[in-house]
Amino acid sequence: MLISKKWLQAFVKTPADLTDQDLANRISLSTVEVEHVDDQAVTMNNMVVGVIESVAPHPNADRLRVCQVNVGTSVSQIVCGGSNVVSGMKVAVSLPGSWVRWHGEGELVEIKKTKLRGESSEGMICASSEIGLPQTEGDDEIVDLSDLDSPAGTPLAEALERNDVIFEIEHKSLTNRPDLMGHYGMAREIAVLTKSPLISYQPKSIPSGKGMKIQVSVENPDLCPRYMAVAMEGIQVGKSPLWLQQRLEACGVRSINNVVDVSNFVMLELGQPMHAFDADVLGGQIVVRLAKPKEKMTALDEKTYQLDPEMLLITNGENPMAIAGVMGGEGSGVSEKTTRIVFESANFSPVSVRKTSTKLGLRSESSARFEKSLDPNLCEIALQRAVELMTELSPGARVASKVIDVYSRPPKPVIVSFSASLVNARLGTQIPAKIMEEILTRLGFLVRTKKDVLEVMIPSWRATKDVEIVEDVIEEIARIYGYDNIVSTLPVFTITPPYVDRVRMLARGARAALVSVGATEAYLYAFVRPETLESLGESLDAHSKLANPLAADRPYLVRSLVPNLLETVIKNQRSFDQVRLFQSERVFRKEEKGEEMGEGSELLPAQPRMVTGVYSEKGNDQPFWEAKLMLDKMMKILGFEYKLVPSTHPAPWQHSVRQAEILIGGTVVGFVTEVDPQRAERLGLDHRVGTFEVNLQVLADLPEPMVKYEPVLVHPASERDLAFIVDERVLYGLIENRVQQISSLLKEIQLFDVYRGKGVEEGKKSLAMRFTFRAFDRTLESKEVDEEIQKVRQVLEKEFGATMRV
Amino acid sequence: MKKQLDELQEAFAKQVEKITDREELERLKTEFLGRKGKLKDLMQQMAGLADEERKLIGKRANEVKEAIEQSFSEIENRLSASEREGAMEREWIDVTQPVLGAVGKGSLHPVTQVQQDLEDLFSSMGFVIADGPELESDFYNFTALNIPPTHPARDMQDTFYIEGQTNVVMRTHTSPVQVRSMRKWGTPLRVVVPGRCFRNEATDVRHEHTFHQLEGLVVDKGISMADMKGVLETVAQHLYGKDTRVRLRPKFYPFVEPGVNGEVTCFLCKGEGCRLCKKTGWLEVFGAGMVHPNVLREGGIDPDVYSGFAFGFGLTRLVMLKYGIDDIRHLESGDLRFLKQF
Repeated sequence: MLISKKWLQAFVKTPADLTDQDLANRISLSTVEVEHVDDQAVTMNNMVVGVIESVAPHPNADRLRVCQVNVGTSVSQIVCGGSNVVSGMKVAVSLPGSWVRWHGEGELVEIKKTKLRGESSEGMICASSEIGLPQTEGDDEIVDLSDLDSPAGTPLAEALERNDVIFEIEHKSLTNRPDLMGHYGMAREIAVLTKSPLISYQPKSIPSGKGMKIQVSVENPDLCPRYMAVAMEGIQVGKSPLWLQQRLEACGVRSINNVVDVSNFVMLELGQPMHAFDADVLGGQIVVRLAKPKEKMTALDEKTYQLDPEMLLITNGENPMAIAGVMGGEGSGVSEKTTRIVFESANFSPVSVRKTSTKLGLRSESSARFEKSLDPNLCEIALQRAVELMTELSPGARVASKVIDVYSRPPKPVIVSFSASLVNARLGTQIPAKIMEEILTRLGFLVRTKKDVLEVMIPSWRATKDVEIVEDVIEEIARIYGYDNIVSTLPVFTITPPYVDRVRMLARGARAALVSVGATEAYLYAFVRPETLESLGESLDAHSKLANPLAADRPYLVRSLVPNLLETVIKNQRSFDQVRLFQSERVFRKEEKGEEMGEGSELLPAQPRMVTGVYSEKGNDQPFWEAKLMLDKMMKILGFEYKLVPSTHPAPWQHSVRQAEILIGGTVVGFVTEVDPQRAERLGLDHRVGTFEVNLQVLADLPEPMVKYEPVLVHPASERDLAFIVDERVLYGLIENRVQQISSLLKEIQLFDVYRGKGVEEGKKSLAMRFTFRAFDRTLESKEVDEEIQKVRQVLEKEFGATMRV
Repeated sequence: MKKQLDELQEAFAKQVEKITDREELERLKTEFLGRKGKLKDLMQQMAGLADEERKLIGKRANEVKEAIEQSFSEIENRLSASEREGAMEREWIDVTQPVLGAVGKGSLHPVTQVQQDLEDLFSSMGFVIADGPELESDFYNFTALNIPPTHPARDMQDTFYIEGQTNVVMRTHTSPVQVRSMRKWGTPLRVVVPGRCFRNEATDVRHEHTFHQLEGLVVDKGISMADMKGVLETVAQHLYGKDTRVRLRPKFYPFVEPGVNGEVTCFLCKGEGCRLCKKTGWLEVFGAGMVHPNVLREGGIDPDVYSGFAFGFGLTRLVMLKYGIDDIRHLESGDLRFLKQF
């Protein structure tokens, strides 16, 4: 929102030594954020009115002219490209040292004395867009100022009366301060902040007129707590005076005609949106009602809107004339022919206006204000001001009806009482009750203080849901007292060890472990493309789907981190031969129950946190091993012993014979697998990919792993090696499991070679294992060890069909 | 005999000077001291001498022998020292050469790094580090936070909804964990919640529908705004150094009252004003405020007895500020060219 300093000055005189920037800072620190301070005059520094004395062709350039320009103190030679420069014309001249926007585009550029194609040039004759003037149609040429009275050399800002300062207020910060959405409200606030006197706002009361009858009925007083209207006749629709145009323009509002400008002016001054109907179109009856099914209206923006029965309308008893608080209808607006008008000044329910404008996708200055909840008292002042102005601007205009005021729901005054000590306890301050009283009184609160207790009545312009409870009043005191004046402390707590989230700790450990094996952590979306899921053979129905994503290419919530990681592998394959990534995030399983929802007995979908790694490298066609290596390192660091068992029901995208479930005890905690090569190719993967995924929630629910301590063995160990041939499909995991149970003296088993090829029959493999035997109380005798290894050998031969190699 | 001994010593002296390696040394040792060596030879000849003379010559012979042995041992020492040196020298390696076949550099995502750093800070101050669902109930995400269905604040947050479910949303902030935590742990409460949040908006250089926040909540008897300022200062100084100051400005959030925006002195220009802080000297980092009584009530906490403050900030924003990252989309891209730098 744009606020004009000149406009503010009509209501508040700030201290002379307060700079505009200081004022902006003060507002930002106590009220709302001022994003920019734009001093129109500063942007026109070193710009003057010039009078062209002569125009000559440029000797070296067809498109340029050499002008002699009277700039007041001297006559300067300026080279100009504009085709409309003629002798005697008044123009805007940017002298050296000024900053212009070349052709109205890009950054500001400083004007310097220069030579253009050999001819010296001491400035620039400007087009309006180059010096920040509003552009009118067909205005891409040099701006013609011949209409101005100002003589050559007059500072341009002065000549154009561009000496206002514009404060740009951040829009969102006004959310709870509708009272500031007009200049008077802002002035009232500034008066408090700078302890300056506020000029009270007292438009003339409206004389009761004759000639026209208006009847207003409000069918839904909840949605329209107050509706005021008055008719005027003898209106001459025409141009507004320059001062009014400038006021509007300073706030970024285009001047249209005097009637529309008056409504806009009042809105910008008071924050109360107004509307002017052509009385001859409207007739004498106004019915405020909800839309009928299938009712339509064409609004001032010339678009036709389909209405629904939740939308409030202003009708003439039959047809819609306006969408209440949002926009007027095309037909009922003020035109050049209008002579009689009805001013509407009403208060509409913020919720209703917001719903309607959201549904229609139609936002206006009016709806932006109404949806923030306005003070119904404004209706009357605004109407008075509008009539006063209209009478002033259109000399024949007079009030032609009674002032209608349908005010069925006047709000009750809001009174809050509290103790000063409560305020100080909340703020951590020692503000005396007297100071609190003073601050609140300045803000317009009526205050009664009894010892420590303050009883305050909220002023109507703040009782718009903004200030309702004691906490709101505390904020008022705090922000005016100044947050900078609160001396920081640290809260004191009894010592209690905080609850520790095991899943988070596991994720932390897993991350560290995976980084240590060279993996890079990626953050990827919780959303996945349907194409990716389909390429992997995953069912779309199993995935939760976003109802309304703006980024429509990824509507599904991930059930596993694998699909998006695979996509990322594809992206990275362009730049890297090897990709080793991991991610730890939540996934979404709609069929499983998760946490409570706060109300009702329903539960959220389960959202377990996963840790997932992928590995792929050019030329590596068994990336399974690297995936398993990552998994193994992670599990070791997390302290879990696990087993891999090929799944009987692998996912469709898993390599059917290079996949396994990860088991701890009897619990499946995840999988490690290669991606099915055909699906990988279909997805766009250049190389094979190995991947694992572990559900950290499941891991966290397992008993915490403990190290099993055994006394340190002092007696030497004996090692025996066995090399044997078994069928290819005999699982090493099973061999190890079984062998472990054979001998209590067997302390370590290590597989140190796997061989296939010459000397080993096709379909078989040769395993070489080292067995380490040890006793805690003695050195084992060779014979004893031989007996033990013999047992191992027998088991291998009998149970696994092993043939010993010699 | 004596003369022969003298000659032998002289001959030895001549030859010994030429010794440069161990091989020659051994040869000379054999030649002079060996079982069939020159000295032994002379000593055998002594047997035929008279006692008196034999004594004298014997003494002299011993002197020569000792001198030769002494000489050999010196040479030996000298030789082995230089040999050791040579041997070590042959073990030279290029210490600057990279380790071949070493594990490549992995790295944590920059947001994880900043998050873990802050988790440690808050843990050290006794805060619980909590987590909460990302697919959250509408109740916890909005209603419990004093944002009823008709509240305009719902406009400020464009929300992802789920097809076929009216009461769940992708959480738009980490704040839903405020009420969850109050209900779970009651008072006194110190908790921070780092986590991923979602806003339904189109992505560009500055906008990303997925981002990371850290939320904090402190509730107890007598908790004040001064306490909040103190905690925010602690965080700011941890992040940006001891001299960092915090400035509060009013800002509306439905779930706090009073609500503020916390700005910190720009770490780049130390508050002087630069491009990063848009010449203001301040960087907007925190949203904060005293917990709204309605929110405390939803958390089962009596606002007449307890008070608290809440704060939040964007981890994504902190990371971007810290490293000067200009395009927010890098953070969720999984692009190794980006990630490997951290």
